[in-house]
Amino acid sequence: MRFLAPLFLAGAALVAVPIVLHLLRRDVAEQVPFPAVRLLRATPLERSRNRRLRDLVLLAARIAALLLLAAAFGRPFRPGASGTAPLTIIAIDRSLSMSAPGRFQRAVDLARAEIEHAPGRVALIAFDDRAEVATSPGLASDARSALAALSPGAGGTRYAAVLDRAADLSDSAAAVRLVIVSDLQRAGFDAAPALLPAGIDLQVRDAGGTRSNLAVEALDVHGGHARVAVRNFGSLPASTTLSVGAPSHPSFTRTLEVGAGSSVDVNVDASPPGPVLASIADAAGYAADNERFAVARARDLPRILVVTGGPGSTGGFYLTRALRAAGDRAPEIDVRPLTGPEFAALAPVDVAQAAGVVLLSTHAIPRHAGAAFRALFAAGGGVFVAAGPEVDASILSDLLGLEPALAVDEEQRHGVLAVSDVRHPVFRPFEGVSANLTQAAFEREWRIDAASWTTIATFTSGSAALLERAAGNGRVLLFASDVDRHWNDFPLHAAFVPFVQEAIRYVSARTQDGDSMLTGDVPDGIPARPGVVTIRGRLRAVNTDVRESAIDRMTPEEFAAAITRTSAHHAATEARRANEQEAAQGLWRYGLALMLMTLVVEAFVAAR
Amino acid sequence: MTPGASQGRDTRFLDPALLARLGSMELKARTVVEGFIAGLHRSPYHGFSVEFAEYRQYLPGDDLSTLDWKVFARSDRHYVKKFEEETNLEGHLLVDVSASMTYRGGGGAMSKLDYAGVLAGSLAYLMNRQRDAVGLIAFDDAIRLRIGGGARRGDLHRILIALEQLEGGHRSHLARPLQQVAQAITKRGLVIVLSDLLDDRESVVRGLTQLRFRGTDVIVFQILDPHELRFPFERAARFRDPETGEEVTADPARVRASYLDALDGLRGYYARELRGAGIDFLTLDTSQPLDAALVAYLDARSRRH
Repeated sequence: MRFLAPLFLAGAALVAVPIVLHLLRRDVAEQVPFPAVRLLRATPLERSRNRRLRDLVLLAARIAALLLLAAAFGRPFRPGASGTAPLTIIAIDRSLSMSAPGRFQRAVDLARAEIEHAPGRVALIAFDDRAEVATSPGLASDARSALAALSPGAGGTRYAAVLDRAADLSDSAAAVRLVIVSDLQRAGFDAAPALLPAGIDLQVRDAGGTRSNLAVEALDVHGGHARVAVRNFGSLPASTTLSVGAPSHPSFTRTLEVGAGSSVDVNVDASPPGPVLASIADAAGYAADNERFAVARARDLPRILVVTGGPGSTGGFYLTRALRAAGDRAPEIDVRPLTGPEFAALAPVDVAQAAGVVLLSTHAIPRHAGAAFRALFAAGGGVFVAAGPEVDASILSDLLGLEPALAVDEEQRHGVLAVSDVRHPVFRPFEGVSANLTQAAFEREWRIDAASWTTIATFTSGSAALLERAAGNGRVLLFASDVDRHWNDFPLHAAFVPFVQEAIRYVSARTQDGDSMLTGDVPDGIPARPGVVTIRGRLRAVNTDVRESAIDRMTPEEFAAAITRTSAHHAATEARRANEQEAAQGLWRYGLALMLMTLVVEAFVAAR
Repeated sequence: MTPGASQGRDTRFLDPALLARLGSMELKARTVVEGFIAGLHRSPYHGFSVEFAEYRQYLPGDDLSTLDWKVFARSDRHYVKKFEEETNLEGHLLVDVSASMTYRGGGGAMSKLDYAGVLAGSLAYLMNRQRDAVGLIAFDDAIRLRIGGGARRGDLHRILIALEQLEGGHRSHLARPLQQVAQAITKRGLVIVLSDLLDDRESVVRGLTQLRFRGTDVIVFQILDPHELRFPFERAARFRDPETGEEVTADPARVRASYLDALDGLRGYYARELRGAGIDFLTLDTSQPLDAALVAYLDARSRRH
């Protein structure tokens, strides 16, 4: 029996009160007025046996009531009462590396042996990138059944996840033993701290490692070309056969010799549109990293919507031509000029399909069009805004959801562009030739309160010229002067075209890395194994984490030493466990009820 | 005088429990007296009614205005009508208002002071009805209230109102106020003392006999509560005297017999000493009707006249 608030037990000292009263006032009788006292003879009050017994019962009842009251306020609980039996948590590694021949079976055997010898309750956790509770604390037979159903997957190894989950499971148990059965890959310890409460007994079971592993380390498909990298993680040279092409019909096959610890790059031409698979044969290594998928796009031009004013507007003339000029042999950007009403008529989902929007006028756009911009930002798209006579800062803030709202002053100043950071992607083409940007003369500009923005370039007047801020999953790029020769002659200069192209590429950059994901990052409902899946109507390649292909391992001692044991966390866990147990048991209620019953008995006996 | 004197009379209107529920002192006194007198007609004490007119033969020197000419016309003899004021006595009601008189145990409907008040009021009413002059003195260790004697209706009202307002005082010391009363009473009459007499027995007797020696008839009513008379307590207690604050811790089972012996001794002492001095003495139980006291009064009055 323990107490959550033991200080209240000091109140038990009050039992001294009835004891002292009992000792001091044992012969004190009730006072009765009686005028004929002079005729009375004083007699010592001899206490009868019944009377003595009654007094002792009263004393005991009063002491018991006080003790019960103090105990109830102390919030008693029976430690470990809800999980008295010791708990053994068995965590089995089912990551990609466990798919080496015989590895997982050995791990299963080790885990089964632990289940057989585990005292009390058993819980089973299967882990890779994530830790999944296969069976909650309970019977060993349940754990055995769940163990038999496990198989290695294609996920990476992340020990922090399994340690966290084990700590959660141990909250309601008194004695906890965590047995980790793994190949002890060093790569499983990442930047996240590996913490385990000090109260948990950690034991490590080594399922063994492998000496060699070949993996398809990379597959890049771009512009009709595929680049494949095959790495040998072992300590001896190895040969393998590489196949590249559609998953069911490889169009390219070659035998490769890969040196120990090195990789070989292979370029393959004329990759057809659609899913692409690069695979090797490696029976001795991990199976899941013998394949890597990619998606070849037939014509993957980013679509840019250029929004100008009302019907008949000639805005965006220079900008659209600059964008259409992108690409050496073929256009790289799909430019769609739209008037304001035409843009407002688009459904948000259509706007979200675009890579970005260039906003040159707000005059003909209703405020409800903000939903289209929110959809665009949610999809990772971006917006390039150029100030000008047709752009209203207030409407712009509403449309783009800028918080705080954009605060601008339109000023007439003479100046040129001054790039703050030529390493920024927008100005990377001007590295070494940034002087070209200074040839354009600016006569009018927005003076912007840039507190919530990142300033990329300024005017020589000192005010911000190009600003950037995040918006949802995308970004907003704001140019503080116009791009239609109203406030400057920038479109007439050679620097205008690369500036516009790079700015648009920058704000619409999401398409560059949206075609592939790792097995550990797939959303719910998508199988976490290598392949090609369709997400929101778009083909996405799913591949293993390259780090998981490494065969570098740790000893059990190194493994245990890499884990930080947290006494503070242990104390917090103990306190939380005590709170939960006390709340679940609610013994204080019984204490108070018993105290009330005792007081009833006391009142009954005292009244006799 | 024995309690058996009330046998055969209707005592419904003399029951303290009933009287305690009645309103004013005058109503209580009238209820007691009228009920008592109604009973008298069926008792050996018939003839004490105040309606009785007393005549005697004319003697030289008598006031001619007192001649009853109607009697003379019928009998041809001279009789004088004896007026009540001439024939009646002067009564003094001495009521003990000490703190002990406020005691009311579990068995009585009234406290001893209430009982004494009703009894005094009844006696006053009866005396007034008989055209006796009556006065009231309330005392504890000194005289606290004094209303001069008179036989008029207004005198009775003043006494009844005063009795209604009686409150308990300090500790009793009968000898001192009795001495003051003895000095104050110049005319021989009847002194009725209503007290629990829980005081120094010798000084009480000394004070009362002092009155008697001056030719005054004295009736002493010792008024006690049933708990004082029977000591029915069961649980051990600290018995505290409300006057002196003296406490005695006692187990009733063990001291009851000795207490009752002591009480009997006290009552016997008073009866012996007071009656020896020609003083009527009667112990009254506050749970019992008041007729015994009234009979005792009439008995004493009859002996005087």
